[in-house]
Amino acid sequence: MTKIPDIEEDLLACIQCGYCNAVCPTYEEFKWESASPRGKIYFLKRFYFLNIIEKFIKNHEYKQGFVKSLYICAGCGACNKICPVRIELSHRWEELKEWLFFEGYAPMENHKPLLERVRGVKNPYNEPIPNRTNWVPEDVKLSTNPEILYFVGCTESYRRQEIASATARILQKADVEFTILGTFEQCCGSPLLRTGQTDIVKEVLMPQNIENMKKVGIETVVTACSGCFQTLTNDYPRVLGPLPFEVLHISQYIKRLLDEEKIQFEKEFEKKVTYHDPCHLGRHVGVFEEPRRLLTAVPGVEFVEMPRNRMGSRCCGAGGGFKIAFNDKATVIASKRVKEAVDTEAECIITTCPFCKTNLTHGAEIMENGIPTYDLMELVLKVL
Amino acid sequence: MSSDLYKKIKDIVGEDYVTESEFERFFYSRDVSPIPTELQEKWGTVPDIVARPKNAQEVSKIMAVASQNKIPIIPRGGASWWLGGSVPYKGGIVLDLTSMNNLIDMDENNLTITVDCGVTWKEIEDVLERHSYFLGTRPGSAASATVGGWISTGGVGIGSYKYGSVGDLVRSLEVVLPSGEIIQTQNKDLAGHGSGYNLNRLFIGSEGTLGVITKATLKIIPRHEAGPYHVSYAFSELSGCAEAIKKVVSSRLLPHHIAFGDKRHFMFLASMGKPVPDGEIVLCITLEGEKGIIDYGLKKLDEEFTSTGGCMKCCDGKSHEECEECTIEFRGSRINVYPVPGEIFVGLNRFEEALSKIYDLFDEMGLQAGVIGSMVDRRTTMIMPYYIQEQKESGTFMEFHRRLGELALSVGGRRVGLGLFFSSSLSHIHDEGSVAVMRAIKRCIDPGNILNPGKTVGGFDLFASLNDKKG
Repeated sequence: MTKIPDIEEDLLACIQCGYCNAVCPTYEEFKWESASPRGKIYFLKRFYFLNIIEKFIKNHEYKQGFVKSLYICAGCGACNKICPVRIELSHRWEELKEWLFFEGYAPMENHKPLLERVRGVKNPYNEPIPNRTNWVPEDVKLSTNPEILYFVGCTESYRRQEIASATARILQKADVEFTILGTFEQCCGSPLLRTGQTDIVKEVLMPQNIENMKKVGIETVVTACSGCFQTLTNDYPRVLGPLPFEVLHISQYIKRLLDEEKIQFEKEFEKKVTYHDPCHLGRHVGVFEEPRRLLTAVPGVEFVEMPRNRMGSRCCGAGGGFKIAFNDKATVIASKRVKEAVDTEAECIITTCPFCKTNLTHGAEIMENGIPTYDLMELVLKVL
Repeated sequence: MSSDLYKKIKDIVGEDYVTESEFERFFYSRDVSPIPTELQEKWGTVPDIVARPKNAQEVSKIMAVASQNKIPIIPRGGASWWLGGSVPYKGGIVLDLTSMNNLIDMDENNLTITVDCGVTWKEIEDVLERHSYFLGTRPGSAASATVGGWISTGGVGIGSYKYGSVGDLVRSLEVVLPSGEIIQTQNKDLAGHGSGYNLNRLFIGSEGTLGVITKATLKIIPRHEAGPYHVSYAFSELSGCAEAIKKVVSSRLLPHHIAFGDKRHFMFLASMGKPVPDGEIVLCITLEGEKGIIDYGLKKLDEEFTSTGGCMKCCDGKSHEECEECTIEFRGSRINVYPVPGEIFVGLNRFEEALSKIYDLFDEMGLQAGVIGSMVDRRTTMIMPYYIQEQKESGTFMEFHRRLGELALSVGGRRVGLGLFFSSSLSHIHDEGSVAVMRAIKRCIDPGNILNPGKTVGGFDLFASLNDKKG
């Protein structure tokens, strides 16, 4: 048996005040105490010092209930920030999911194909490896002597290709010599880490991705996916130690180009827009200002904030494997976020994450007066 | 196999809003207080059913079913209290009212805000702030405490010194009675004076034993021009601090909040790397009001405090460490420990005496502990001694609270709140006649004793039952 993560200190520190419940978007959709951050801690408080597995074996209802409860979390981290005793709740759930995965009790059924697919074709969408570069537009020329590497990620390679092609075209227009890993690129591991299926992530995906990046011989890796960005920034160094190159989110890199006047926003975009902070980019890494700087630098843009922004931003509901397991609830969470944007009278939402774009778009579809969501790169390309 | 009762409740609220699963019910068997597992079983704190009604009509129908079948109903808000007020005693139906959280209706003409009972105080504050209003008083746990919950505990909080308790915020309540009838306690747009019995005050602080509060209309106040501005002073003697508080309360100055924390409290925080102010006790004052009040207040406080041996610690007005640590008391729980709080009211004239008895209690029980507190009005001190305990030895909890209650009585004070744990204290706090009136009211409104039985006026001596167990 693997060892249960050492969470004793957190369990003792938690006073069950319930501040976490008040900010949890996924609890809000279930509303049962078991689904809340406080509830999860309570369960653990009660059984940690006994034997959770023993309880599971004796009681099927407890097993099903608690495993599901752990997955009622989009990993947004709002709870971590409000906790008066600073428990990193969402990270603890990841560790517990990992433990239960190795014990054979996790993940949920819907998550299981992710691992099989990533093992097989290196992406969670079960798409053929050779198709990974299908998105590359004919007019984009990859450099043989690159300054930077663009890590595309599975979602932009196979699903949100418009973000990938916009990103590539922007880099090309700015005369940045760049390349991609192409068919050597593999899933960064994020969907597996978030659902506890860390199996091949630490031994295979992480080292191989880094090895392939090193071979390109660059000093900077950029990505336009907030999920990949968080994983490369937070999870990779945790396992592998410091990386031999800097990892930037594309918004940070474009901001740099803008400051160095290597790129100019010439055309106008005359719309009222708001910005949705992806949790993985914002709360988890702390990149809040660069996307806003880019947006406000676009001629014609009238920028307006939603009341909940930056560290206090509201999750779209897509993360942590939550949308995979509870798609309907995730869509409702997204529609609530779109409503916040509509209330600012913005005409569209700009974000910087393919998952947020997908889920907010789904959210807008199930409501009246929904507004569209675009990736920041799509907007930037329009105004160059 | 689902029970008949479950089916009846399901017909009222719908399948997604009721459960009798063993797994789920377990989560509703406690509030903030660490009730030991064996006592949870002995007292029956796990409910038979949990229901999440969406409106007063559903609450009313559930109440009718419960009355008919003599099933206890336990209303539950944010469950951030620690006296077991929202946990069952011998099972029953827990009403999780946090799903009733949609309505937040501000009425600028009548200067009120009408809200559903499951809305948190923080949510109300956020709405009011956008329109430059506020409530005056807030619970320390505003982020999770619900409207219905805090009203039911009759709570005091930050700002009570100037604006009173939660009861002083209430204009009118919508309440579902055990009969199922839904009443509106007052005219929502007018003061209730001179209109017969004040039913607001009957339900405020009734701890869910007389009715389920489903909506509240609260008075709102235009935001102050200046402040909040925080200033703190350290005192090397408790007597100096008591003297300083006496000077403030008998002066014309009306601060928003007066809080204190003792040396033990700050020493405890020091083990987490926080700075310890010199002195035995630190006094934190929050000023707010019309323009000019800050300057006047700072000058006045400095005169009074330096003359009683106070030493200014911080006066930049920001919500600084000492002040935060005195009001958001449980920051301290980060070092592998669990702070267990107590709460008593003591007259300011016996403040020092109470503190010294509290220190004796700490020493006798061998507790690592500290004291924080605040002034509730010009005369009443709320002292909140807390101790640090290892989670596993939760038996100390009952002894500490029993002795703290006795201690309070011995200095002319009392414990704050009764809930499940201390309903037997009712007769120590009030005279016989008053207790009889309270029980008569309970019998009149809730003849079947279905609403939160065992709480407040229940009169069970849980400590006696503990002693039985030991014997």
